[in-house]
Amino acid sequence: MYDEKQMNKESVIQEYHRQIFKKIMVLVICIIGIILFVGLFSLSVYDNITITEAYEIIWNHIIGHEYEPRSRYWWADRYIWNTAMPHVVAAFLAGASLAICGTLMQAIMGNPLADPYSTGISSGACFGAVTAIVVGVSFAGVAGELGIVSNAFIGALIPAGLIILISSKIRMTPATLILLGTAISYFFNSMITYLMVTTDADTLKSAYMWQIGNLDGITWSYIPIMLIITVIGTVFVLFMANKLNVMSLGENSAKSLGIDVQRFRTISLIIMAFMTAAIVAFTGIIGFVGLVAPHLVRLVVGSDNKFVMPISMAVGALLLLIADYAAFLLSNIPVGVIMSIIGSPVFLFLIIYHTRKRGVLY
Amino acid sequence: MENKTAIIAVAVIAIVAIAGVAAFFVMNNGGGNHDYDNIESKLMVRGNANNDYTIDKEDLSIIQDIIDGKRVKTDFPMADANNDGSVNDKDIALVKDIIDRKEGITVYVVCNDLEGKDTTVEVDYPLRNVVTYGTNMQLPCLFANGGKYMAGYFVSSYEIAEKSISASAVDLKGSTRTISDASWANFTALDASLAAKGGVGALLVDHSGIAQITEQRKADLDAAGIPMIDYSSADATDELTTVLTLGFLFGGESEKIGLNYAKTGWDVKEKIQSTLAKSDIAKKTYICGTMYIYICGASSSFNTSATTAGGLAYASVNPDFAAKYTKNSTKMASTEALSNYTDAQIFINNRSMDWGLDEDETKDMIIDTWDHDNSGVSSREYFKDFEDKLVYVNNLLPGGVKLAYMAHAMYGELFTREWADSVLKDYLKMGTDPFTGIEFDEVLAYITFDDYKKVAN
Repeated sequence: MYDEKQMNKESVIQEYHRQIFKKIMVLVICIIGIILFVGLFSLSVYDNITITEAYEIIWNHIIGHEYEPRSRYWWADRYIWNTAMPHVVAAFLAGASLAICGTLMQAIMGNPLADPYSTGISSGACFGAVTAIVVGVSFAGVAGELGIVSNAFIGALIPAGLIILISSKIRMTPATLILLGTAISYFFNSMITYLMVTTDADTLKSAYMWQIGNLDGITWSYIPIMLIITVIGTVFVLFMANKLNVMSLGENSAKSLGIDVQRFRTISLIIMAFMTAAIVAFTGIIGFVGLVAPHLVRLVVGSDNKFVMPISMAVGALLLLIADYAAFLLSNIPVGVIMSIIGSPVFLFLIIYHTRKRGVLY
Repeated sequence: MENKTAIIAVAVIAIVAIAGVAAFFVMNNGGGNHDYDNIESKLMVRGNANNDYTIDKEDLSIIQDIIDGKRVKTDFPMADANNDGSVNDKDIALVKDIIDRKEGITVYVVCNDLEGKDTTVEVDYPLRNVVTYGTNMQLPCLFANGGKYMAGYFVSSYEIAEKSISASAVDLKGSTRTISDASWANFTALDASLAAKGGVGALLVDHSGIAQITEQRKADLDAAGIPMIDYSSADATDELTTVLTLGFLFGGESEKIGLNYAKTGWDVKEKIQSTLAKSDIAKKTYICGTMYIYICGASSSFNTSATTAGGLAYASVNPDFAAKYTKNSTKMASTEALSNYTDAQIFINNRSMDWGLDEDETKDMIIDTWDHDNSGVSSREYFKDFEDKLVYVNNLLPGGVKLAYMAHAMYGELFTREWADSVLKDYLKMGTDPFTGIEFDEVLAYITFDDYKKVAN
């Protein structure tokens, strides 16, 4: 009896350590992968620079070392820090932010198919951007890139704002949220379609390319807004992880444990809307990251949001970096296309694997 | 007393008249009945105080007058030779060096910035190791016999027209519409490899492709001290300015070629303007096109060239057309796009066509031009209401030649085909590198419906 108890205790401890090890390994793999892709991006166009030289250049830049002007390393340093690094940082922030937003949405909706765009945010952002591109009207009052970004940001927030407004009038369940998001999406999509069919071919192409999702042309000036909103949003979300675990028990259980479910969902929506808007305004609509990353993570580390949230960020960042590098290798196809090509088979695999193993996906 | 007054008056008038006649002959330099000083295009190098086609003692005199307070600086913005905001002895010293064509000096070139506004860049004289981007900058560079001074190029699309690009020039693997990150990396690698020779001397950019020079790339150029010389050279008159300026900057034989090139073009422009001024023919309305089925807007350089050649933009007489075609170029939405505008008197379509063609190649080019396949639809379908009013002008040709053919297209009764052909022949004989060894029959300059019918049958 005592031996059985001792063995059970030992096996529980072993299992616990194993779970911790898995979590740490996933994180370590993501971090190593991210560092690797930083190097790969840095020498993506300079094939006469080795990967170790690329890391050396990055390190030297950080410590303030300057190369002789117009030398090979001087130019490589400029490229790495002014073109490659903003690109990498943007991919990191976008992947991490969309992944944590996807995790958040799936938790508050109780729906495995929820992603950051389920509330119509993507349609709103598209509408804003397409309005700026086709009509030239923008909140920033200027044409060009700033107008598109500002329009997309405000446009992304409109659907979330509408849902929050409506939620104050009616009882909001996850199904209602999804349906509202779908309805709003249809509305904005129809407006987008109207704008696009009435414009000329070149403008149509620009508008369409924006929607696909792209990380090209990102500069350091784009990063502060993305970074600040992502960091603030992440801090809030991580603090809410325990409550999200409670929400996953069901609405009634959550209420009985003292959570104001309606209010909690509203706050979550607001945070998620801002985080997603801050990303899509600059990158366009990059799909599948927010949908696939949380599922991949749950496959390995379980469903405890205390771990799923931060590890999803790392996995999302790595996924997007991989997709972006693949896009670069394939002669600069937009990363949104690659993400969809990668994301759908991965998601299919997850569904089949998970269903076989556990009978249900979520 | 009254007689004395009258005599003095007559004497004064006579002296003024004689002085005026003398001034007329002196200022004409005995070069015939031309006044290049009044032409809009000019040498875009600071120190050219009087905005003419060269920097000489006249400019020195103007600068000295400004220093002495006899003239106002604001009337002569180019008098500030070193672009330091003031006109003083330093400008005098620099202009003297320029007049002596002293090597190793820095000259200040007026060109476009990223937004198309005037800016001034510092350039080492003579200019060497240039890199070009855009056909409308690459050809002017070659026409100024600057091919041998090219260290690299982003794209070369015309095998014969651009064969004078230096054999040692590096292909940076760009494309006609984009400079990829990889191409830009090739450019920077080229600059690094030329470190011993001072690096890339300048990046010559056609302004229509300026979107490829992003803020970041411009910052790269500024940090490296590589001047970007940006001109909108698609316009025929601006092209003359570009060749003149580049020729001056390259120095030596290029300067002479550039000047001859520009003067020939100005002669053509002057002839067109003076002939039309004397004629009572009403201005002909034109529509310009490019890339087979794109309509040019008012801001298009093809339109400005056609206006220079004496035409009247159709958009100025048809508000509906003007409202529809506002952008630089707009693809025709359908084969009926021009059906409401058949009262336009001429359609000048601009196409870039390589030369050095044999008879069969010429025929194929004519057929392809007229019968071009636009995603399954022949160009003839788009222009079915315009066949007798449609002409194609070769956009690769010198600005003066394009003006001549455009003028012929619109006012054939005043500017004959033979005259336009003679302008081309003048350029062929000029000694510019792109035309070395090229005969008149090897250049497809101008295509009409009759030309197409002859070869199509």
